[in-house]
Amino acid sequence: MARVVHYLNQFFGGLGGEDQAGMGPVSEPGPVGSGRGLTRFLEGENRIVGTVIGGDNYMAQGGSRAVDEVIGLISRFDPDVVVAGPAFGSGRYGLACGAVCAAVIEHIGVPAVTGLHADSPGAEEYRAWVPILATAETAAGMTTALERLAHLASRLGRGEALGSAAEESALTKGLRRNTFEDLRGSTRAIEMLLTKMRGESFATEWPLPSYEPAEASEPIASGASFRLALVTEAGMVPAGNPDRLPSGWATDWLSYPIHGREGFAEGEFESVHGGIDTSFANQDPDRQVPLDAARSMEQEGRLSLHPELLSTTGNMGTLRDMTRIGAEMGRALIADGVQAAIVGST
Amino acid sequence: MNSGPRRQILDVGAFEVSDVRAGTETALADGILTINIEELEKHLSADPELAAVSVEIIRPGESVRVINAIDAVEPRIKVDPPGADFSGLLTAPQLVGTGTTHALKGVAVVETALPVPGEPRYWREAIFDMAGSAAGYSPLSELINVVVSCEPTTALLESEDRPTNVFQGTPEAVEYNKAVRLAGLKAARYLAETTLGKKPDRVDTYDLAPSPVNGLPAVVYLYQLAIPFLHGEIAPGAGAIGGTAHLPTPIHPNELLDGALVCGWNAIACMRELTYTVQNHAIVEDLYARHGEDIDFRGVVLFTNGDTRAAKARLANHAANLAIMMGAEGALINYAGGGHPAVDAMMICRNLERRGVTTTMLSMEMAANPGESGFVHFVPEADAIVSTGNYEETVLLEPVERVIGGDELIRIKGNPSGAFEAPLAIVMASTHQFGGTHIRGEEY
Repeated sequence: MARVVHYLNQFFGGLGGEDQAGMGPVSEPGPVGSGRGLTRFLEGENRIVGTVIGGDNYMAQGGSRAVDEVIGLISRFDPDVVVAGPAFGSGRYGLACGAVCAAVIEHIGVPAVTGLHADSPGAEEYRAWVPILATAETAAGMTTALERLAHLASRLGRGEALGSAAEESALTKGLRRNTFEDLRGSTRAIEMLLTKMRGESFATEWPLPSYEPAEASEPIASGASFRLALVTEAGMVPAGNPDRLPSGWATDWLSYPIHGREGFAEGEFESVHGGIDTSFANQDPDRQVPLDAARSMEQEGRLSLHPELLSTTGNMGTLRDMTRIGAEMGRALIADGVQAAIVGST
Repeated sequence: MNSGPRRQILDVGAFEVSDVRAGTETALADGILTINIEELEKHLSADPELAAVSVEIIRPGESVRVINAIDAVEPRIKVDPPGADFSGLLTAPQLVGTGTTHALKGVAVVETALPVPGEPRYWREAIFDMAGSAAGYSPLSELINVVVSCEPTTALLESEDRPTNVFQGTPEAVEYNKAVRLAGLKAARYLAETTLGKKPDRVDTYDLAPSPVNGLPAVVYLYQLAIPFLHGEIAPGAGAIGGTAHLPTPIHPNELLDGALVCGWNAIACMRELTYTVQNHAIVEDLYARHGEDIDFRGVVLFTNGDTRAAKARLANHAANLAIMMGAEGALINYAGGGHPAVDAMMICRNLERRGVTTTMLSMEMAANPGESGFVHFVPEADAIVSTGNYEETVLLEPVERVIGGDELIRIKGNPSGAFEAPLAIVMASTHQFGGTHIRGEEY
């Protein structure tokens, strides 16, 4: 018999609607709410030994501490497998299901599974780490989702490995790997082209990333005075790299005072970027971050310069980290009254 | 006086080779190619740029690893008109892509050469295995290879010159690499001479005559060059090595198949534009095979890449113009690999789609970890892409009994005959841009 523990939000746990969304996690023995439906589909002797219920807002605002509380309650039931949701297309609930499953796998060391719609925020955030059954967008798909989740949980509880995403009606992890096809690439390309020309549906082998290119803001009116910030992803740091900014895969950014500097002299600042030939930048760091030029424009009265250089390393940075770093830098600059930034590329 | 046929028809006489052996006389009989190794080595050693040349034969399944590989060439000789082999390199620039050429099938000449001090080494590592788990990645692993190993002169090896940047070697290093390539071409012609006066097993005819069937979808292939020799000159403006990108140009596909285009530099091994893969160009061959059946193949447009925004815009506009002028309703576009070229290829895709031409791209992926997108650049119009594989994926190379091409690897530490993990990037032609292999990236 596998011991199943079920995680639900306050609504599906039958404890209330939005008015109860702030409630901290509680646990109850046995199945609760939609867990009663899940029980019907569990195979053999498997049963839900306990249910943990967390409020949507509590989980959304509580961060890892809220997840830790849930994990504490779940582990008291000594689970063999944990099921979260299904949460369908919902935002807060889906993210909580993903976070709980990821933490169960990492900290309790037993399998976990949830059910989410492919386009939900929780799916995007956790698909690489957590097995996620693909569900409908709304709870209208509840019965199907519970049946499939029960089937997956029964197998995971027996220690079975799951098959491919397609075989399990699960979401892909969103990761890429190499495989081999029967037809060579050139032949597949011709088939794809002819299919596309006929107006029939075709499947690209390499879907485009889902982000949109950033649009540049409107130019600053000519003659207006403005505050300019210098920002770099070239890993430009004081010589010796005192804060140990990595040369690649950076997950954070730094700021360094440039107040009173006319420019960067060789040996005072350096680039630790691991993906380019940094010798030119290190000979004359102004080539990478144009402090000298900006300062002379400031002396001409054309702009005022923000007193700090914002720096990170773009090399091998993940889209997720870089998007966050960009947003953080942007917020910090706006809060400091900056209207324009030069972000030199590498 | 007007006497020509106004046609450009190429017959490639294919001689299937089942084995290659060393012997006293270089000859072809019953599908078995015998090579007088000493005579061939002497023939190739005449070049003063090379201190020594040695020749070895390796077969699929043998426990051999080739390192420091430079290029691979299918043995071929022009029969009609004679003396037009590898136009501009072994001969003066010639009309090619017409008449008759003989080819030894199932065989490649592969050159290896030790790197010399004045040449860029960043992308120089190039290997393939003839057996074991990594043998499935390189098209060369399936061929019988005649490996021509070249040694530089002592003066060149001891030179203290350094390359200008990651693309450009010193003039001496460039000459040395060219001599190595010429040795491969000479060996290819020498071996194909064994077919003269013989009847091929099969004749493949390449004729771009207007499709006899009306109304078939008209397709143009837009071929992004890396940095090849084109009739003996490095293709003008090719690659992001400075200089102005030249405008794209139409070219008859038969020229590509018939030796006008030869590997010109040591690009990353997985995307290196091997002479062999151009002589047997997968996209051109597949389009020809269906020409008049379900495709009206209208020809090829060569393009390179610009290294400024303006150069890219000029190039991308002109490439689309040419394809439309050639009547394209559909277009295949390949991406040569690297950073800059991705932008030009995507801009052409966008231009064509916006002007009503349906496109499909062939593209290799570059994602060092599975969570990265692998794209250098993309446009929303690029909704039909065939993946030719992610070259950053790590593969295991198993131990081998024998290594040809040197005693040490360039950037990978350790014994070259041992087991090591490396990105697919260093395996010759593994994710090459013409889609001649079966590898692809998939989401999981």
